[in-house]
Amino acid sequence: MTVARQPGLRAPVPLTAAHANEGLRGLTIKDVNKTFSVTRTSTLSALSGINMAIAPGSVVAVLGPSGCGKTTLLEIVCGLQLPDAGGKIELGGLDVTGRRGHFAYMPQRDALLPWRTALDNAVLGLELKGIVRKEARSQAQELFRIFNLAEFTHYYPKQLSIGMRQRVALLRTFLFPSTFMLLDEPFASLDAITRMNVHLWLLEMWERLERTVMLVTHDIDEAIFLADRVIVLSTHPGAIVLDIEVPLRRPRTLEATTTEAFLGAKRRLLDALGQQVRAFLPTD
Amino acid sequence: MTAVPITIRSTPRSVGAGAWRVAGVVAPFVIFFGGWQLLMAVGPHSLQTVLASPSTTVSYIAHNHSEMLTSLRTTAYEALIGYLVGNLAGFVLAFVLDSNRQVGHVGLALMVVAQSVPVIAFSAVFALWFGQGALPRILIATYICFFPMVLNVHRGLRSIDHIHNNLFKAFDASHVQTALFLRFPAVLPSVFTALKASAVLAVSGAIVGELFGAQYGLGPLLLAGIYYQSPPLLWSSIYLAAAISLTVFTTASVLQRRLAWW
Repeated sequence: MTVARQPGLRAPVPLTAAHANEGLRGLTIKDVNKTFSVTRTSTLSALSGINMAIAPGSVVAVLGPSGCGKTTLLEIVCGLQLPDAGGKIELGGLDVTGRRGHFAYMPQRDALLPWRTALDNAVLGLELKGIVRKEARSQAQELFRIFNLAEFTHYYPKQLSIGMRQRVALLRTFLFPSTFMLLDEPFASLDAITRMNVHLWLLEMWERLERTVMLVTHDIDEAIFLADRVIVLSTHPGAIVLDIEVPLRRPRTLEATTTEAFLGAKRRLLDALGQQVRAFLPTD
Repeated sequence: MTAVPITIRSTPRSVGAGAWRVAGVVAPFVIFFGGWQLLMAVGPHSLQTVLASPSTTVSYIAHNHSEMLTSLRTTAYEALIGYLVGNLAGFVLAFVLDSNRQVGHVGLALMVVAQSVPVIAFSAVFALWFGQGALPRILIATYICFFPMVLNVHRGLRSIDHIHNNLFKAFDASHVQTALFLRFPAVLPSVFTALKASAVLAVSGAIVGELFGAQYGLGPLLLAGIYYQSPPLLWSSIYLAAAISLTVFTTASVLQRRLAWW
């Protein structure tokens, strides 16, 4: 159920010593359920019987409406929450259930620290992993240069546009010493045009720096455009209702979004989501 | 943290704008003291028994400068030590209270009860316990400065964005790293709010403490002013007390602009 990444125009470059030592790793999610207790007697099933395997180097989008538990799933993967008993998260064969620091996580908003410059925000993950700031900075500087952000290194978050802030947050995620990225609706706060620009920028980054990616989103176009595979979650409880491969080649350009292959995938996803929508319409 | 940002202002400030800003700060003082001086000059003579004109007060300070300086030094010393110790203790305690919800609730409740007792009641007790030296006055200043810091920093810690906490957790940051990289910088603005609020309180605390049996300081000077019915002496003490708070407040403001500018 995985798609091998099409070879990019340029060979991927290893970014840091830490990254070079760690190859791409796959993820297995086994029997993950999550139940929240709402009151003393009633419970809410947020996730039900989630099983999936993400192949090393692939980009997988988890698509679903608000409240389908996709953020919960992501937080379980990166160890911020625990699954119900019996659930398991394996990264490259290693059991990481409830263990933190194995994934390059990016939360819903950019979460930049206002007292750090763009460069110092980007190196946060490296610093927390014990790399000296000077060394971390020189690694980040290189990345800023490659991706045309060199002039922004000394800007503070509030001096940056929202799109720029998102790019800096993504660089922070790329620099964290893990080749597995977890992105939690990273573009939800961007306007459509800025979002398109950041999408293209991110695709370009993935071409150069190979990563395995699990991306959570409620945007169908975004899921298709960025991912190799799209998994649709239902609401209440969050369960997998559709799992499709995206028949688009890499590297991708904006033209891909109007091809028949793109629209075909969109039709199937809309259909799966539409059943979710209709489920809430009054019967009769 | 890196050096102080120079580029942080979105629009460069011209020299003229800077001059206007200084003028905006100075003008109200000029008007206030000028008006006061004028009132003393043209007002009824009976005003002289309750007020002293700014020029009279300043020349009174100049004439009695050695005595004034001793008093100033005594009160400033008590206020400053109390200010530093109280704020430091408040800062540490806020982190302790935040570490555990139960401890936080109980601790804050206890402090509110303790702070609701008027400080003047304690100053008499402290004077009885610790005698005529600086110690009881320092303790009053400490006690008074401590509370704003606890409240502000505790609230600051509580209002750290959930998303930042999650990021640090997901990156597997240790407690020490989270404190250094997230919690300390995040509460810096709250720290300076407290430091500015207690700049005035520290001096009040020291003077109130001095009213109970102290031999030196601005407190005894005020008492002497009442005893001798001398407005210039009273107003000199008030000017000097204000000078101490203003210096501490301004220092805190400048540091805030340098260290917690965001």
